[in-house]
Order: sequence, then structure tokens, then C-alpha cells
Amino acid sequence: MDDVTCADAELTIRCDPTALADVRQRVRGVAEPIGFADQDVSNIMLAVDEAIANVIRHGYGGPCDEPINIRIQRVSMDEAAAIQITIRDFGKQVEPDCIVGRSLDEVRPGGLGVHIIRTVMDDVVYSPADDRGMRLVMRKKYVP
Amino acid sequence: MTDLIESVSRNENHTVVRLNGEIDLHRSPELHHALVDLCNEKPRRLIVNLSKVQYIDSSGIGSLVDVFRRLKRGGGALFLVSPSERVTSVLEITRLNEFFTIVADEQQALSA
Repeated sequence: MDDVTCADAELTIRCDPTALADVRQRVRGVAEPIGFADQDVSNIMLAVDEAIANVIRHGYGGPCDEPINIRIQRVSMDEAAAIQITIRDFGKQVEPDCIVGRSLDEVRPGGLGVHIIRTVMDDVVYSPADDRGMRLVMRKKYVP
Repeated sequence: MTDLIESVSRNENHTVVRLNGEIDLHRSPELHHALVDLCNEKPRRLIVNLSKVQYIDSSGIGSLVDVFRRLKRGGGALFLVSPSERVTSVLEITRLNEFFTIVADEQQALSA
């Protein structure tokens, strides 16, 4: 496990979409000092937003009082600076191989979150967490 | 009006709605509800000005896709006006920039 530095962030939110705006700002607070360009910061915020939205909608089946733990860290990836975000929920477990983005050839609302996450981030790993819930670890490398 | 819906203006052929702020899973139900209400008025053109939208996620994009389909069923058209760089990036990631009619300003939508 990587050390949490003073620039990193750990927070627990309730399963509630009203928390998303605050989480985005916490992501920005870690990503900007690493040096990510503004567009990359926005894309990382988007990926985190989509991941938490999926937990709210699919992991817990809608807003509720259950927790979502979020850890945002500066790490090394291939000897370069990177951002790593870990999202741990306590909802429904899903086989990681089933978490795939849908085809973009079909234009319809919904189902775009996983595609966005996998497009924006360099490394995305879903795994069942202990006895319940899922853990998502995603990383993006800073390229000057 | 709300924080999200800055203004709505109508004439017999078109409706212009100007949005503002950040659209995420928290705000997109409000957006969807408001735009569906406008769709139900059956404008020939629904012109959605996104120039002041600083952020949009897939739930907001999904609302726009649904509104597009509702309008099309009724013979209407949806125009997205002047999306910011961030909004454009989300449209490109989802390849929906190829699907929507995106114009630089409201006048262009009115004269299209």
C-alpha cells in the first residue's frame, strides 16, 4: 500500500449524488499539483464522477445512506508521476469481466460511464472487495 | 428559472434554452425534466445553449440523447450551441459529437 502524503485525499461519502461536486474538487486538488493539464484534470474528474455514479446506480441501486470510500493519491507509474484513485463500496458484487463499456455505434442514453473511465484512465482494475462490495483502482500517468 | 436553467425563450417555431453550471448525476434529472417539458411543447427547433456549462457527465449527455430522440419522433430538431472545451471533450470521448448538430452560436441554429 502506498503512503498517503499530505497532498493526497481520503474521504468517505454517502451514496448520494449531491456529494459528487465536492469529490470532483478533491480530485482537482491532487491532480493539479502533479502537473496535469486542465483538460486532463477535467477528464480525471469525469472518470471519478462516472465511477461513483455507477456505484450509486448499480452497486447500491440508488441513493442511500451506505458509504463509499475514496482515496486519491499521487503515486509513481512507470517511473513517472501519476494519480491513483481507489473507490471502495459495500454494495453488490459483480464479476469484473462483466464490467465493460458498451458499443458506441448504438446511440442511446446510458451505459457510457465505463467507456469514459476506460478511455480517460491508463489503468483500470475492478475487483470484488472482501465479503461485499467492489474496489476500483484507476491510475493515470502524468505526461509532461 | 433555476441555477441550471438560466433562461427560456420561445416563438412559434423554436425554443432557446440557456443552461448554466455543472451537470452531473445530481443535476441531470432536473435538466431532463425541464427539457422534456419543452419537447412536449413540440417546437420545430430546440436550441440548447451550452456555452456556460462548465461540466457535464454521461447522465447529462444521456438526457440530451433522450431529448434528441423525442424531438425527432415529433418532427423537431435539437441544436447544441457553443459547448465549452470540457463539454466538447465529453462529446468526443463518447463520439456523440458526430451525432448531435453542434453550432457556434444561436443565430446559426436559427438560420440552419
